[in-house]
Amino acid sequence: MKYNPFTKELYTDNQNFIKKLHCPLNKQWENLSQTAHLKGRFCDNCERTIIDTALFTDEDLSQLMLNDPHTCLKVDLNQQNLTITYKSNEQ
Amino acid sequence: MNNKTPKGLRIIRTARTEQEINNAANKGFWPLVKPVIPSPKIKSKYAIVQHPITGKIEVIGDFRSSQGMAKAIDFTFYYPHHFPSPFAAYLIPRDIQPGETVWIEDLIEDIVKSIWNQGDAFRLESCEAVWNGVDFDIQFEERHTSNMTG
Repeated sequence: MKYNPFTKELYTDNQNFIKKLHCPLNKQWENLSQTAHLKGRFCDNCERTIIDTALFTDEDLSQLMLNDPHTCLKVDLNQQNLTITYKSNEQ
Repeated sequence: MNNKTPKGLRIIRTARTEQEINNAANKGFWPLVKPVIPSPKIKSKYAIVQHPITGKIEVIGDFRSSQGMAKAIDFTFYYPHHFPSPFAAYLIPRDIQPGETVWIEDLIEDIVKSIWNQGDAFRLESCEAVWNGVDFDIQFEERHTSNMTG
């Protein structure tokens, strides 16, 4: 997948839009508690699980977002399945 | 335009030109004026690859994206933000009391939000702050995290 740190938009490697990341609470992943859901951590403000995108393929993540477009995601700029891009779908 | 966050915090707006600042003053806000000082810690990099026949270019920001590609401009770090004036102002409501926690929508100060292991450091745009009677105490601990959530 690809992430644009300026627009905060996440794309698949084929430049299909996944989500624009926005957390008004500036939640820090390190401070979130582990959950039974092994691929995420729990945000007690929104009472939702934040999904770790490092553990998903583009296809699985796209499907997950289709099922629930409001799913919160975590991206680590250093994760192996991510490259940084300056492109967005507006270009 | 909402004046409060879903959490109920008042949103403090930022004016970034003389006209915007004076318009806000006319509306009753106290503009807390500050210089806009780019931090050398905030930086991004880019490289330009160019098609040898068509001349079309592509901007690349990730070392891994350019392997084997000829570059018209090699990776170069730069300050990636542009602001309309070298000053800006937080628009303070006249009834704010010391101790009130607010949401600053557009931070004037340069604070590092996250760092990438390729050397790029990204700017915090918004955060909570507490009014101390004179200025805002920013409620964000600058840490060298590379995580983004949302």
